[in-house]
Amino acid sequence: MPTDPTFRRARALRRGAAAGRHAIALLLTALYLVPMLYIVLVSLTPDGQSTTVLPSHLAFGNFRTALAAADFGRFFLNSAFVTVVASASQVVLSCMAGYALARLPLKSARTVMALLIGLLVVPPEIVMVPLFVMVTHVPFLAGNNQFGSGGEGMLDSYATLMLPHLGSALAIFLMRQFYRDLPGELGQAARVDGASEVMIFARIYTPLTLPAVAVVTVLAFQSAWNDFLWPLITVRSNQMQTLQLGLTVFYQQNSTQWNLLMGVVLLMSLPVLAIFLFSQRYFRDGISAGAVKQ
Amino acid sequence: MRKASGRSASLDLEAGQRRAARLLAAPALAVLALTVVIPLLFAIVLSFTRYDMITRPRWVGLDNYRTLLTDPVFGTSVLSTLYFAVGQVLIGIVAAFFTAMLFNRRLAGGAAMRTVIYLPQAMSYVTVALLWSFLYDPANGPLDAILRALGLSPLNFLTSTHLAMPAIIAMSLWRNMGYFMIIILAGLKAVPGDLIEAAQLDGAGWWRRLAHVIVPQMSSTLFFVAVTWFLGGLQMFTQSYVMTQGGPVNSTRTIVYSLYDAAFTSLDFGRACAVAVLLFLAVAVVAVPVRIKQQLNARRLRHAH
Repeated sequence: MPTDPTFRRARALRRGAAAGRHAIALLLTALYLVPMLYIVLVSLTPDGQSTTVLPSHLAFGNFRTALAAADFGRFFLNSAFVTVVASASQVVLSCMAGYALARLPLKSARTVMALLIGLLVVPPEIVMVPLFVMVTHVPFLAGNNQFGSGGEGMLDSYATLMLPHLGSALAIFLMRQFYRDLPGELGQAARVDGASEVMIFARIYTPLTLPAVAVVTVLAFQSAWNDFLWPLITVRSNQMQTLQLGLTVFYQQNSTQWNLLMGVVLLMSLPVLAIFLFSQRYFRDGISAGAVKQ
Repeated sequence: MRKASGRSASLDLEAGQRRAARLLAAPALAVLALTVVIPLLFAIVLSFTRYDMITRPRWVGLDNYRTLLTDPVFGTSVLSTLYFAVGQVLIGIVAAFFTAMLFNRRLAGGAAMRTVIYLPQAMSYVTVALLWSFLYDPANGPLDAILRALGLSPLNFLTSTHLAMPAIIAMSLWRNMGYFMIIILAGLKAVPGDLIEAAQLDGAGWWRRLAHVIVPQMSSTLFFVAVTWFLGGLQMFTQSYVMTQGGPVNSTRTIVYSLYDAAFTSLDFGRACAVAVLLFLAVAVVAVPVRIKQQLNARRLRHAH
């Protein structure tokens, strides 16, 4: 049969199609890889040289100059601090609430669930302005009187930067789904042994939810780390800038120093890219988890 | 006697569980109330006032809404936002679908290439916007340099009223395509193989299999992707702020940009809240029927089993 000409033609056709698929896939990948590698080259281009031709030599000193051009180390740490605390808060709070909604008798559980599903569709930008007015009017802070007026309240603080990311309806929703699918017998057995309800939550069930916790962590991390509008409106001083804000301010002040700017963009993206590659699976699970959103 | 004590023990247990439930649920719900529910209600109230954060809010009824609906700049920002959201979804869903089809077959290095394509998902909008600002830069960027080398005139992407928004759409597609490609890929893997084989046996070619088997099987996934992507597009702000500051001549000014501008340039917090309420209504009009439809589908599916 292999000598049958139609069979051979079909095989050749299949091979051609496979080669075509590979070529298209490579082309697509290049569309992503070339700009990224190009940025590496630009960040190593010496000052004053054109960024559209190959540089005469690679200026590794650019990275040091770039990092010294603004307080990027501080901005990075600001972002890291805000992100870590906000993610931890989201994980802990969502575990607690998700467990209560899934496994305990809560009188208003139906109402709470309906409310949470409603909150899933509220875009974060919508609450930024009223939230800004609220944090500005916290009484007795930063020049505010007992009625919360006169000063800047809680503007320009870590607490304020974290505020919109401390809790998330989506995270509670995801944790609840996960707790609900765990077997009820585990808790019954522990109850017979005299374990308290909080112990059953913390010691029996929660250790089993690590995959869901990882997904919630990734989602929280992304929302806090990438946030731009909220820092833009609440940060007043240079030293409180987050990384996203600091990069934007630097760009708007030195828009022609592309080698330095791209160097900083590269350096500051590397840790996140490393985390991303390390926890890819959870990013992907987070994507499908996001599928319950909207 | 024994029976009664048994009942009281179970009542105790139930009471303990109820207390634990309240204790565990309260902190998260308090945080959500403080950071979402109260601000949302507050935004609705403020949208009926004139408020500059210096003097007390003054009730003005529907004035803010009336101003917005007759303001041509706000009208432009609504159209620009729709242009962005619809344009990105229409191009993106086709691109993401065919990319997913490509990666659904066995490819040498497929996993690595897939990772590269959704790598931008790990980059913030600010960093991607800066990267593309460089690519688009008329003096130092490669795109105009290539055009010049080919003897064509440079396009000055971000300073042209016609090209600035398409340029931002291209940049956003670059960042988001991989994300939706992954969702579609998961959907493709769930299409029953025997359906495709049956179509193949019936002599259906690649195109017919695609149009009559795969796309219909994928309709709920594609619908979900379209809605999510569209709703995300309605909230666009960072790209415009970083790359073009809403310009040139308001051509990349979006709804959220108008909201930001009303509050923090004009110090008109009432009008900003009116923009927020309108955006919320727009999102709800799309999202709520979709949610209800999803719930009904899920219920029907459950009954079918």
